[in-house]
Amino acid sequence: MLKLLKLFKLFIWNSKMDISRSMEYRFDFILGTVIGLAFSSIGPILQYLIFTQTKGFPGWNLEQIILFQGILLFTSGIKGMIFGSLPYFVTGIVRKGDFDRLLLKPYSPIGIILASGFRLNNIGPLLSGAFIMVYYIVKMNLHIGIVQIAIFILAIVFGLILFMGYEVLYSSIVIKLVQIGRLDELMNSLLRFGEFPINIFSKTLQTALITVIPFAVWVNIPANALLNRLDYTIPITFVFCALFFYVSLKIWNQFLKKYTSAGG
Amino acid sequence: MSEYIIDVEGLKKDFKVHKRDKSGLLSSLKSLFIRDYKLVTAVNNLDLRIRQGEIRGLIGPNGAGKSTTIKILSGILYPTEGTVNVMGYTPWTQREEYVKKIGVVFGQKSQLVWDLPAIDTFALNKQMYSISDKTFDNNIKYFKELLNIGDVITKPVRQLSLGERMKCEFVCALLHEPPLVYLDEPTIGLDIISKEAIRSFIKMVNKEKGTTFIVTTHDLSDIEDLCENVSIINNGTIVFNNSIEKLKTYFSDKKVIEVKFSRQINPSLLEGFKVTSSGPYFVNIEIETINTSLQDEISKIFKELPVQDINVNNINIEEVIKHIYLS
Amino acid sequence: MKVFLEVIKLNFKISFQYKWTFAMTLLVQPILLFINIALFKSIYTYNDTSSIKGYGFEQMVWYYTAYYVILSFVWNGITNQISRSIISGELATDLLRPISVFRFMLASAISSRFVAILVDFLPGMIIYSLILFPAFLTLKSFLSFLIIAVLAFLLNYLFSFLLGMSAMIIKNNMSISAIREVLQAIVGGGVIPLEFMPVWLNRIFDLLPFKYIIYWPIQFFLNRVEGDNLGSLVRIGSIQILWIVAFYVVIQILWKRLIKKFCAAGG
Repeated sequence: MLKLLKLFKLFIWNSKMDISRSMEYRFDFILGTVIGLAFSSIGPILQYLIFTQTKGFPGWNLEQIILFQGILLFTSGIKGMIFGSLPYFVTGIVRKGDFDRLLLKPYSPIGIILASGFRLNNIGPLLSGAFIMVYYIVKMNLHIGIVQIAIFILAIVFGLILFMGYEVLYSSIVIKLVQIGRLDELMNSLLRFGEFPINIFSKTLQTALITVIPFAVWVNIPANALLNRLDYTIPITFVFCALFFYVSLKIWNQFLKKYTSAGG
Repeated sequence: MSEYIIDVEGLKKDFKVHKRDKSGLLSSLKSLFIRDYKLVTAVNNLDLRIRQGEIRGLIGPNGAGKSTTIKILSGILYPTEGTVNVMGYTPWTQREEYVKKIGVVFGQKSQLVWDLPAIDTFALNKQMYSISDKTFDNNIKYFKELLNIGDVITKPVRQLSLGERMKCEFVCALLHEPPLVYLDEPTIGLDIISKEAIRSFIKMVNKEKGTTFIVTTHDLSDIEDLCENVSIINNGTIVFNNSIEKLKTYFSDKKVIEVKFSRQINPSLLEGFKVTSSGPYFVNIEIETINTSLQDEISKIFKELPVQDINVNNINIEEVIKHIYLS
Repeated sequence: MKVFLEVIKLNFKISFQYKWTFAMTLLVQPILLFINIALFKSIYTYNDTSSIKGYGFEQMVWYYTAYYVILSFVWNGITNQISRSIISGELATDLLRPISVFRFMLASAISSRFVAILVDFLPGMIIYSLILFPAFLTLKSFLSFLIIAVLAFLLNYLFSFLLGMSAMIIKNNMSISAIREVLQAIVGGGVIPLEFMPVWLNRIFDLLPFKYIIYWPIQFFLNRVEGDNLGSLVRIGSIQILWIVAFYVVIQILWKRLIKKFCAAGG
């Protein structure tokens, strides 16, 4: 527990450093934020365009799907702010052959990796997502009580836990397969399964998305919470998120054991 | 705690290296599924003891097992066999606790954050190693004066010269007051002034704080200047483990006689001497004092050669080390 | 010309070292295809239609894959490469080569596209076709796609080179190439079929080069060019050639001036 607290402090510290770095290169920061916002808006704009010019898809009307997109922006903004630098950090370590240096720090190496991900740039989608979300909650006149808010927050928390597990897997693979580039592109494409309402997928895949690969926790569950579409599967998904993280840590430890016995 | 800060016994490390004979598309595809391994022994039956407060030089040719040894000692790798006791810890099993007690400087790699002033990295380390405010402030003040880096640490690292950066790397490694510090080629690429500044800093910290230093280097002047004792690693094991003085007189029964001639000589005159190198106006002759007396040899030289100048020396340290590396 | 071919050969070998990085597309695309199939199947079924904005189901799903297919023909990293060689000082040695920087980089762009076609495009077409068969493809449409794609490659090369020359003034041009990438994705039709955008916006896009690098090659690939195929081929091809000539002239004029300034400043 104490170790977690210290890692959290380390994270805060790294965040401060990222902010002062962003201020050092102010122009790059502003541009990076704008470009990041542009790219993360592509998906929502695309779906908006599809929806305004067709009947859309089953189970969601226009306002609901925009709320969905707002939550998507918001949650990917949170993920991006907390873990956005992580791929750069990990590939940087690999490129400079610096993994040994991580092992010289008085923390678990994966802890340091996870605490080094803060990226202020991703504040763009976070803010715009929050704006869209709040605006549509008011516009749609949604009734939101304590239960809805609690589930929404829990979904965000478990979503972050799942994402940590995902980043742990990513780090293991990158450090293992040094020579292959564009791995993050592959991993990111997998993430897109979580970016659509799960009812467009086949029944099997839908089940998978709320259990073994519980990506539904990122956007689907928060959206359903706000739209008051609650059901018994939600806690199951939460459990699977924690499980996912646990298993990925096991894999990491296995990998680390191999590394420390085999050397770089 | 025993009198030794580091006590290594029977250390052995094997690596699995995977073989790939061709670099074509097909064979790299094949190597995805089937891999041939061979076992390489990097360190073999290595013993090493280092006293508290020593500055110990660790030298050896490339690929001798130096860095594997350092990696095991610092807890990055775990060995195949053998025991290691550093300050009561077994480095690889108690890594997180152990690394708080050591500092590491890599001459070739930086731990400073490139875009920010060094002071920010120091503050990060303060956080990581839970250094108290008082210790931190005192140490920063101490290092600032000792290394003369008052202005340096507030400039972004990318604007620093290599010498200034190296000084900051040292501060990073020493800020948490570790009793034991590993230095891996700490003076590589530095000019002579910076080298001396770094060396006198190491000596000063060693004297004032009693810090033990382990230095690996290819620069013998580092070793001669810093260390009393030196360990030479070759083929994965310690082949020499004694004082620098002993190393200098390693071939005490061998001498080198340098002779300068007053005029150009006919090479045939040198027959009958053991020549190590020669030219029209000079010759270096090696003798073994067990077989030949120095006096006889010199009088023979004066008799047979047109001597302008003559020097008698021990075999120099580089030659000694070369000899040890090659044997 | 012989030097040019030698440089292509050499760079082909260099690029081929990175074959696994190239081939990553083969893993990414099937995943995206799978998602897009699910997404559009549910949209087409729910709307009870076989065509949205003139795109049949296969065409709509393939649109997003086609973007990557086009990239394996037209992509280059010249804009950043020029910036890097100016920052690292390598441009000075590049200038000493017996081949002009323009031609040297063209050769390296061509060889990297050969590698991409070999490890991305060819196996990709087989894999993607097994997932969703491109029923819209005909030999004639494919051949006209090839012509437009080659012209798009040239156009993109010249455009990138021109943007890259900005590094001779501002050194680090990362921001310029990032903006270009966003524009290419949106204005060029890389991520959204441009038919979904308002007509007036499309009129503006017509005046920019991006559509001729991305959108039109995609249209030819999807066999969606209406009416007389040959006529459209000639029309789009000539606009591409117009852009190519315009860029080429501008580059020649600017390069001479900038290089004079660059050499006078001592790099």
